[in-house]
Amino acid sequence: MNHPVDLLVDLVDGSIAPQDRAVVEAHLADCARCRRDVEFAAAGRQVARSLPSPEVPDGLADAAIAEAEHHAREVAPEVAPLRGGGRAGAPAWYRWAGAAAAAAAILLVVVIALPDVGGGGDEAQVGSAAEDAAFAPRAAETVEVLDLDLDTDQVQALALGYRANPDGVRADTGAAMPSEAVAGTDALTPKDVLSCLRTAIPELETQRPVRLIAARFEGTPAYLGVFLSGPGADQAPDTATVWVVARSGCEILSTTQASL
Amino acid sequence: MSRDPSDDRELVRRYLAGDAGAFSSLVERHQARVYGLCLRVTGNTEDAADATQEAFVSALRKLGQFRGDAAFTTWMHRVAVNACYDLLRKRSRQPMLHLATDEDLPEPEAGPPAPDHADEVAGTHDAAAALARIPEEFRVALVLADVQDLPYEQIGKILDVPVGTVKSRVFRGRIALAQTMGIDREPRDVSRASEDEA
Repeated sequence: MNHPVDLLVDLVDGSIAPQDRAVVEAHLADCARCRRDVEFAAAGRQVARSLPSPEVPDGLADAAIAEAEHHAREVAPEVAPLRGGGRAGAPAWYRWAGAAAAAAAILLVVVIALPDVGGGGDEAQVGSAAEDAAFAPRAAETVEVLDLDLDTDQVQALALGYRANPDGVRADTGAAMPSEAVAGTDALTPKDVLSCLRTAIPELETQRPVRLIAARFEGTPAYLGVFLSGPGADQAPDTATVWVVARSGCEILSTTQASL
Repeated sequence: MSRDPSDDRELVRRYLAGDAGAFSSLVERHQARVYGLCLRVTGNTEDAADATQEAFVSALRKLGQFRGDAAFTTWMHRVAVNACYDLLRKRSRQPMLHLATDEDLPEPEAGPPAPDHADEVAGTHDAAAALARIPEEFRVALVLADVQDLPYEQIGKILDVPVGTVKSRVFRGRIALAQTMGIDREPRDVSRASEDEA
């Protein structure tokens, strides 16, 4: 079943077009998962919009302003005479072109020579966590079936367990999550579990899990997927994210994230 | 906050022509939004201040690249988001961790609240702490949409992703925030906020 996320967002925002409302309402009549997601999304929207604007501390940009003033002093010897009516001799347009060229040259040197603290030379390359196959962590090859009823603390411990072992080898979470395979259960494949996770979270389509678990979460049969992500190719992962989805219906039950 | 985009472009032009005061004016116009964005993305005031400083230094050094075809606010938001991502990655390589456990959640900065504001302060603390726990990708989109109140098309330009992807991330972020706050559970008595729920 396709879930019209775009229209669900519009519905929650109160901006849904009249011609789309009937489509969404028909879908919601048949989709318990989306009904629940819409309720959560509406609540989450209200929470986010109620966050107060913070008081801005003084001096946040002092370093940048000081640097700007320094650069301006370097440019000023060329620019200042123009403000004062100019020097005798060369025509004004020539001196202005010279000042502009000097300013551009200084800025070009600044841009090239100084370290890029913005995280990338091209601001178009805004990226979140890097994805897929460049990481060393091994993808999960089996589904661990655990006879456990997990809670949020244990899910958090699962994510935190990767701090000691960020290369993706299964972390020994010790007492937090004893692992006991249950014999005789249905033969789940990683593909089955991953399909459910990706149904709930389409963004996982390009990510490979390092661990897949079938267990219960607060009483509900669930799948857990652990995903490691990081800053880019050939760099160690720096974040472990655990997604918990209901086995029936593949709806999100919980998620947590830990820095590695 | 309504800004005439041509004012920003004029300030950039004046700065590039040697007027340092023009950059100060740009900072004054945008630092509240940039700091607010950084605070909600990084989850604490110290990191937000660091990210804001880095954002303005980065913007200064790249001002010559600002082509003026996009709104300056869009460009500045993009610089700020990158600064936040950089800081979050730097912090993740340090032993102290800022996510995933209650002990790491930011402490309220004010002293004990007046009794008639206790619920409001506790609620705000919970919401901000919960926001800091949802995945970064969703958190950034959620902050831009619901905290900064930007249109989805502009967020798409900031993050360089399609509008559909923005909406999906916002949707997931809202759900994750509500779930992290336990909104589906019984309403919490804030006077018992430190006790485990049944």
